[in-house]
Amino acid sequence: MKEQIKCYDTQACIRCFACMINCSVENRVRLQREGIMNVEQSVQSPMPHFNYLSPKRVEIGTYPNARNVTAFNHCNHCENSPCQHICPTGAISTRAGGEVVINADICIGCQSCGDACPFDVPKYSTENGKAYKCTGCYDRVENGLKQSCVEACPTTAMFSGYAHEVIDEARKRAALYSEKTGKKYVVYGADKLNDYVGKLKWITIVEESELAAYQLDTKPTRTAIQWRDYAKTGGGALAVAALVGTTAHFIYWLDKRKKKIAEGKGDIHE
Amino acid sequence: MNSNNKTVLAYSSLEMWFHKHMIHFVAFLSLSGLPILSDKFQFIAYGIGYPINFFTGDMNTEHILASGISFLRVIHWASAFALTGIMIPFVISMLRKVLTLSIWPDRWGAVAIVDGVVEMKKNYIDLEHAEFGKMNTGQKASAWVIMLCMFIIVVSGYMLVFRSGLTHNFISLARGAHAISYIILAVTLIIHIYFATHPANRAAYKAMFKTGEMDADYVKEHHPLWYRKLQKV
Repeated sequence: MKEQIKCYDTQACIRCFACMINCSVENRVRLQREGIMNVEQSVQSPMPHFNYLSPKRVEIGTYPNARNVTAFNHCNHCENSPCQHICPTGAISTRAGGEVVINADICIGCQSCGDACPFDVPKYSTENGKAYKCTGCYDRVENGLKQSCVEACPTTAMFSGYAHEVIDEARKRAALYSEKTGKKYVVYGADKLNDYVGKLKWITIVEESELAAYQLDTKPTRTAIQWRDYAKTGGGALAVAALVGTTAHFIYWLDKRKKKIAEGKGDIHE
Repeated sequence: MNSNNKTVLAYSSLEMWFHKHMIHFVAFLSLSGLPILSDKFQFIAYGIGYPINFFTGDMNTEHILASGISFLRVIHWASAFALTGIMIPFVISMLRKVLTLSIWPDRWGAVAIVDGVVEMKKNYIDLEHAEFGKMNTGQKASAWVIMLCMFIIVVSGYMLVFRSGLTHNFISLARGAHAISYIILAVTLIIHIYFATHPANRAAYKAMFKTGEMDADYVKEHHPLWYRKLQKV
């Protein structure tokens, strides 16, 4: 299966939130489909950890030229997926289609994924002690369907498909918006952001000057987690060096002590 | 110096008790923490998870690892709470005599450090008697590293356990500090264990694990600065 990605076009979005609603519905239907909950339970239970798309209204500009934009907090299905690297139980994996998915059955709720995610995405459920985040609707995609958010969008502000096709379309749209408005539009996440996350599999077409308003971090990282990774590599080397050094010293000490005794200088350690 | 003038009290019974239990708990904490820190140590979790899942009848490989990690996390937390418990009387006792502890330098400054390193070379490389106090410069340095790392590990560990209300960004600092401090501590402990179990240090080893005392003549010869200090007292 080829890698599939999603794109969110901030210009085509009419902020109807159909994507968010369909995501929530799909997650509840999924529980019904898998026999985990009945219809009544799945509809009435709030289950905030299933809100994979969290909107946040941000006001930009100053009065009287101020306006609102809606930033979405969601999993970007990072190429390097720091959540997956830090998960101690291997509960997070990348599917063949590129979706980074938490396997709830083996999640032990340590919240390492949330600590490593620079986008603050995985949500911890205090109800069952497990972490949740967008699954990229991998079950739908692997059965030839579109992601529920994409399917719901009435304006094709959200679209998905094979990576190269989606990126081509996103770049075309960004170029068109730049030409028509005279402002620079970029495709956030189509190119590698940094070594920590790599490219994103949820890209966003956005005016460059509004990246911050849409809460799109151009250098997403968790410095302490990066240092932790460096320390793991360096620590392994240091531990080996310490073992080799102490062994070498012991051999040296035995030899030197033997020579000292042979020279009649006695053993200073006796 | 004891009343018979033949032995010197090197470690109090509280210090010996704490040190022994510290070894147990650090071993438990290391064995239970390493598989969480790095996938290179996942074999420990598989070793624990396999019998658990054998009895529960769930032999899915992914589930075995998760069971092992879950169990080890409980051991990690329990050992951490127990270690903190035994630390309290020890830390209070040490704080009461903090100014007389051997961890402080006899002299300050770069020259003193260089002199200390020269004395260590004399002892460990040239195998000659050196002008050591109760602890040499290397031991003092490692004591400070161990204390600092332990402090960071305890504080960050409690932050990771009782994280309610703290942001992921803030907790990631604790997670990083917890791991980095442990790695520095582990490397320091390798060197500490080597010198502690070295045949040349059998007098100190015996004092720490058996009698708490060292022979006065041995102290006079191997720790002359300490001996002279004891004579003054």
